Amino acid sequence: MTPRARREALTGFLLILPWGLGFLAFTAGPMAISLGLSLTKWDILTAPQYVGLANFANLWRDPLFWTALRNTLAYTLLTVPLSLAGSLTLALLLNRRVPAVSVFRALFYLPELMPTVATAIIWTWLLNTHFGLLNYLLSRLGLPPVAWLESTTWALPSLVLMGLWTIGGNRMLIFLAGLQGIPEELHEAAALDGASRGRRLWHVTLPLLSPVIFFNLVLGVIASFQVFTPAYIVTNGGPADSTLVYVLYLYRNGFQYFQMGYAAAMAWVMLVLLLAFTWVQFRLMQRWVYYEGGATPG
Amino acid sequence: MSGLAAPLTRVRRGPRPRYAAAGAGPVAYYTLVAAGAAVVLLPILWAVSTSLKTAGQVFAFPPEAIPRPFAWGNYAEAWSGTVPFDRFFVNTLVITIVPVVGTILSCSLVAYGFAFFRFPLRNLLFLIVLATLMIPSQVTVIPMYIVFRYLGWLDTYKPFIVPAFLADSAFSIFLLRQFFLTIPLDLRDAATIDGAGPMTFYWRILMPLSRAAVTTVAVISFVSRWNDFFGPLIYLSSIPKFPVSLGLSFFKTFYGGGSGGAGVPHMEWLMAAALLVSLPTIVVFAFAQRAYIRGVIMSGLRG
Repeated sequence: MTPRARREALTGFLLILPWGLGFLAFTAGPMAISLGLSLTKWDILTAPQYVGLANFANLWRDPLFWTALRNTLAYTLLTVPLSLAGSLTLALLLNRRVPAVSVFRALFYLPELMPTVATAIIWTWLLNTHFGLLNYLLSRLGLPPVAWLESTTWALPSLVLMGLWTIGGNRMLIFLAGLQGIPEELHEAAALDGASRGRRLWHVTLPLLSPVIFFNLVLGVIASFQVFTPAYIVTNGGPADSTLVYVLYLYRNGFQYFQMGYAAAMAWVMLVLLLAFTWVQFRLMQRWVYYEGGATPG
Repeated sequence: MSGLAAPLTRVRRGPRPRYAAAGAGPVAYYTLVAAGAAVVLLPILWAVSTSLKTAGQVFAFPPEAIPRPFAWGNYAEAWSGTVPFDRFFVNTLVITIVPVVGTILSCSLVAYGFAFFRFPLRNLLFLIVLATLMIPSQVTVIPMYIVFRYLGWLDTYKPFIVPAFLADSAFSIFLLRQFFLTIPLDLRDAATIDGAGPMTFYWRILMPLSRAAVTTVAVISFVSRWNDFFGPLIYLSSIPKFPVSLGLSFFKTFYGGGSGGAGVPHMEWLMAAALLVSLPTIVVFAFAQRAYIRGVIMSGLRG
């Protein structure tokens, strides 16, 4: 290395030093500690006690762990496909050169800007069994009231409904940017060949958009697996644990029951599950995601 | 990158408007879009309506759309009544703005290092930056809590501020680096010949040139920190230190009519508080829409 190159390298290292320290202190360090903790029993007050893999074995036998996992999977399986379809439909609808379309984009985006706690509180009121607007609208249609948040059948779907409120949000914007990246000529060529609107959507738009759909799918699964605030604020896991989602149960173990080792074990199980989901999606991707000329995703 | 937001916010000029389906005219198209927008806006309008009703009218059934009379006092009650929302707002400004400044300073320095300097392991280290984007915060929250407890930082604002000054936002590093890469290296060489050191170049030339990217980082981190709930829930415990998200949750226990609260539910105050808390992010979005949308789209490009 010449002295000049050495000086350049040194400056570079110094510049990224804040990140290096932060990474060690707030990501790598904690993850290592967390892995160690998952092998202990620790209530914070007394000294941690090494228990080997007992936490993981207990998780396997813990019915609430399975309830939480099942609820989270159900939430994910409902939310992700519905919100992807909703966001994509909305993006197709708002991807037009017409007057005032940007006003509508802003209106549909609005729910994404609201703090989740505010959203949760507004929806709690909206879904109120006796005085809520939704049941009133149902009654106008001659339908009986639904105990949205008080029945084990409807509580989880209610949280899904709340999640669908943001279909005009970030996902939609990313779809919109993807749609606008599709060359106009391809549509025109297909139209000249006599392809109908539906066929053009199926054979031109969707294949070219598939990398963006894939991106939104992967991030959507990760995000919905981490759902916490609506379940905590709106139903607090109830009724009868029907909305006890994974992160809520993790939170309770860590910060209400002070079972730090057990909660750390849950966190690691979650990370492994998410990595596995993502890996499977990347494997399946090759079957349906189309990359033009092998270009990089994006 | 500066061109990215343009297609979204600007209506492209075409020969003539194209509406939904072949044959369907503007009336059908706008009816459909407006109906959709009405469904999305209904919860907000319902909240606005409730927030202006008197306690008696809130529980009227069938519900009435227009408050009679308009009880503007609900907002005063939500703002500085029994639950001190004015205080929560100031708290939130502190744990939002200080970390946003920290994020801009630290992440731009780190991005500058990655974009402009050659050093061993640079690509590997940058890959690690990107990998941290995928780690859910729940995985690190237990040990972070323990570390902060050990340092005596619980129930202080340090858990929000210190990490921000140590470049804890991988997305901001990524976004700024992508922008810096579009600035020619010749510019730095010219500045070096003129006798400017690396920090002079960073502060006098690079940062002013990158105003667009810096604004994007600022608004995206402002909104996400303003809306954060999980962090404050874990790290803060005394009510006078609460930010608005946690304050709103406390407000709900207090006035939601459930056990442990004030007994009588006050939906009109709750709705007023929920709307007040949502206002700052909406205002930021309204004024910096272009920069904000560019940030959202950048997050879609890292795939």
